[in-house]
Amino acid sequence: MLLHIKEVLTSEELGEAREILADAPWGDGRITAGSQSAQAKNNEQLREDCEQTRALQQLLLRGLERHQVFFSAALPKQISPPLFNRYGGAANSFGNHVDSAVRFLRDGSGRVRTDISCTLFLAEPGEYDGGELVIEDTFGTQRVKLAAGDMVLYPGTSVHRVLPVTRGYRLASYFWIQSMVRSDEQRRLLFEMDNHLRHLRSQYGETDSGVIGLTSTYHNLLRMWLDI
Amino acid sequence: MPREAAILPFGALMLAASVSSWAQTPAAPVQGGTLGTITVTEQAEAQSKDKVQTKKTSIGKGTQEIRDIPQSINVITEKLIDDVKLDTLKDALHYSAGITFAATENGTDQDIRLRGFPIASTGDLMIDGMRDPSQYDRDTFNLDRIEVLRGSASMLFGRGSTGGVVNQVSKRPMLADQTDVVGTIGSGGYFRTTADFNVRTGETSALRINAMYNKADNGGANIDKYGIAPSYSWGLGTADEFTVGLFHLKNNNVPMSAVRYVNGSLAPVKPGNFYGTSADFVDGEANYVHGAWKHTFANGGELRTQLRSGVFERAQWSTAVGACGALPTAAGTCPAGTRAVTSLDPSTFLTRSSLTPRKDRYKATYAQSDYSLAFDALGMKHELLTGIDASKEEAVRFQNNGSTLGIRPPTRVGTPDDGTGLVGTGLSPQWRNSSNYDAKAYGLYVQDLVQVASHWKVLGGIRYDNFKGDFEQLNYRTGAVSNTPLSVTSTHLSNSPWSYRGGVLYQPSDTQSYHLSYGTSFNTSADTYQYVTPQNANTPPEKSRNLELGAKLDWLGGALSTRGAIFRTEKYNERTTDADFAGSAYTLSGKRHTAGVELDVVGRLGPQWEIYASYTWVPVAKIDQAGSAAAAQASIGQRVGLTPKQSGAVWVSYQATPKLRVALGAHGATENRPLTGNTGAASATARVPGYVVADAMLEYKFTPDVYVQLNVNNLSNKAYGDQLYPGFAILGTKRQVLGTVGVRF
Repeated sequence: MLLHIKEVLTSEELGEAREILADAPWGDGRITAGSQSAQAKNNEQLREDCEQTRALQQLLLRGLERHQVFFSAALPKQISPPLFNRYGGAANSFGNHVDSAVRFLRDGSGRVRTDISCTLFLAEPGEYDGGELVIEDTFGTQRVKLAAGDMVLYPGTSVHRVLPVTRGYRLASYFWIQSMVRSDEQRRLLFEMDNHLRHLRSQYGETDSGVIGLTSTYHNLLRMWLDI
Repeated sequence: MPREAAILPFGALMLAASVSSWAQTPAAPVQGGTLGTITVTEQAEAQSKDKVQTKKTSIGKGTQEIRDIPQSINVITEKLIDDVKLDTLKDALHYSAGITFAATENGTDQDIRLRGFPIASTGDLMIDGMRDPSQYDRDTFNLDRIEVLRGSASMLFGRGSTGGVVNQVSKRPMLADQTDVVGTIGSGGYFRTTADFNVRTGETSALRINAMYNKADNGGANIDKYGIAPSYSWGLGTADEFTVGLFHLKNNNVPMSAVRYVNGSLAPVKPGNFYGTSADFVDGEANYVHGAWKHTFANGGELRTQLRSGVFERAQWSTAVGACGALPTAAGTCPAGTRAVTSLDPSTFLTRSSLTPRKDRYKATYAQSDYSLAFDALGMKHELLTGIDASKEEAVRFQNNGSTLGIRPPTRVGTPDDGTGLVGTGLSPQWRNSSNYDAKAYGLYVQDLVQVASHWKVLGGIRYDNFKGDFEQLNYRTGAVSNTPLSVTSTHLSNSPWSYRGGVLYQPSDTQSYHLSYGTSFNTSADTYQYVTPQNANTPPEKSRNLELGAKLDWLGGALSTRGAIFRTEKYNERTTDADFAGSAYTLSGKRHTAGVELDVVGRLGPQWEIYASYTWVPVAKIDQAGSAAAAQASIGQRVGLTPKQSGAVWVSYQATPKLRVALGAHGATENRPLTGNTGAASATARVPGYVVADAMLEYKFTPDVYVQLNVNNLSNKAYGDQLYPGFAILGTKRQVLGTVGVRF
């Protein structure tokens, strides 16, 4: 499932994030890549242990926390701390790669299985040329370039790349989610059901017997597929 | 029925409450969560620190969409309180249009008027939907927001509410770890610090502690107060949510002195000039405990039960000054026959007279249970709201026991804050019990909002109240110093009135809601100052009704809300003395009405612009019928006092850069007149001119959690009559410069 999640950050938060990124200590992106993807990776990345990264992580997690669609779609169990990258100038692309299956957290506090990959755009599409995120999966090849503050969710299993940025800078945050529902297909079904149920609840109320029945089906499916 | 946008997906419901640990420890697994909780209830509260706009309110009992309430509503969020530095409830209400303040005989009471009717400080001020029964200097340190509901609403609250009610919504624990510490220093020796600690103590539990300490010399009108309000919640996000808490507030202030009118208008003294004495005081203490339980049923129904019990104490004694064209006498009064002063200069003498000392103690316990349920019946969607409430209120009042009180020596216009104390004996009042009040009341109500067709909703509600009060007046020998009464007059009052509310809502889309509504309210004789005499104990309650046509529209994808209403509020059988003036009236032959327009604009005009605006136009505020006394007859056809034709407030902020925000605001009113005698008509002999007071703010955020803020309130140092009494006015606060540092972690 490839899902466009809108307005994870408000315009103020976005402004704040941009301000922080403006004088952030960028470094070579290859430090976090596995040996294979390091070959393909040519971008800049924010150090994980700096103050700016921590401030941005908090900002972003706050945005995620309040986003209902995100919750419903991702059913997150664990989220890796968001990272931040910049494409432009000489460091402007990332060739085809698959993300590592497991992220080991820096502080040794745990591991995250990368069921879902997330990219949150921090620069407006008009600020740079190129830089599309290209994702190849069962749903075909998709080219993604979103408004600043918007986010794309896609299966961690997919091969993806970032096309070269030929003008300006592409700023983004990326991170991974271990979902309570491991299977992408099951997660998609639950998400769709949740959306349809929301519509039914507004039409017929919470007490309608059909709504109650389907609600229980939703939760029972969740129970069957949950991995917690 | 809730709109689709307001309904959370189950996936979000399950998890939203349990993620705040990510930011600190990203690897911590998401735990717990409950299934099947359906209604979205607390969303509005989380926004109050961050926005001036809010779309939900808890003023209607339970949480409702503002668009579903067919009455004018104005909400002052914590964001506006923080931005403008609105430390007290009175400061905050300056930012709600149509509200004026009476000085009353002691110069400092929080006697508030809305739409020309009293919002009695002992009647129509609420804390979390239950009466806040005393008169004390209320502080905003524990408030999440202030909701002003305009027009009659006895169906919801029982007695009172002719002009409207003001609800103070307390801060409650949240499932997050967050601490806000704010410190402000400013001109006038001002120092204030507030702390807001919220600690998540478990999966579903949290502790919140708000504290405040405030000091200022204000050129003699001192502020010295502190407060603390801890509360603890558990079961948050589950079917049973509980909260318990305490509240303590203590004031030892010196009130600003009142100044008598000169030439029938506001005396031309500099704002901020204090002409009182070192003996002036207003001491207050509020202490209460509260508890709340919210149970959510499997069918989506919700039962909210609340309890609050507290003791409120206040004592005060202050000064009114008047210009005198000759050297005042040894007794501190103006010599007989002195010609009236028509202009002031620094050498003009001012007499200082003592306002009647007053002291009171209230004990009050309130309990209420409200049940709400959305269901389908007869092919229509219903939102049922029903409940029961009960109260026990006791008041004990004190007066000076007849002993001599010291003389306030005269001063001159040019020597404010001269540090003078009293002369002679009696440097503070000796108290004796003057009256006692004891009342029990309960009420039952039911209301249904029915979706009769797509886009159309009909609201109907009815309430029954039962009120029983006992009152004692203690009579002392005239002129004697005594704490032993000669006699006690006992009075009993019992009323069982009904109240109604009806309305039609037309909501053609998610962004539009139009309403036509009708509501009633009543005031028992024992309302405002809770005086009951043998005469008015026999008088049935006063009755009022409110008719309103309004629209609530959202713009720019919901970021901007506008609300407008045309109203007519009528008190159609009024006791013939105004409730604010203790008298001996016992007829209901009075009638008065006000009509006008109220407008609000709140929200974002763009990514960088945020606006809050509130405006009221009251072209009509008229006394229609009055009692048989000559003064009352003369008031017929007159405009109601304390009701300026236009009033308003606006606050606009602009995010100039991601770190820098600037804001400019103003509040003001057109010409205002105090009341005449005890008729409630506008004074023919005294007025204060219209005014606009500008406020400004500059905020710089070093990080999202560390900021500095500079405020200048009353930029032009405007002298304006803020609280009016027939004989004198109290000027508004002078220009104030405040520097603030705030940290959140």
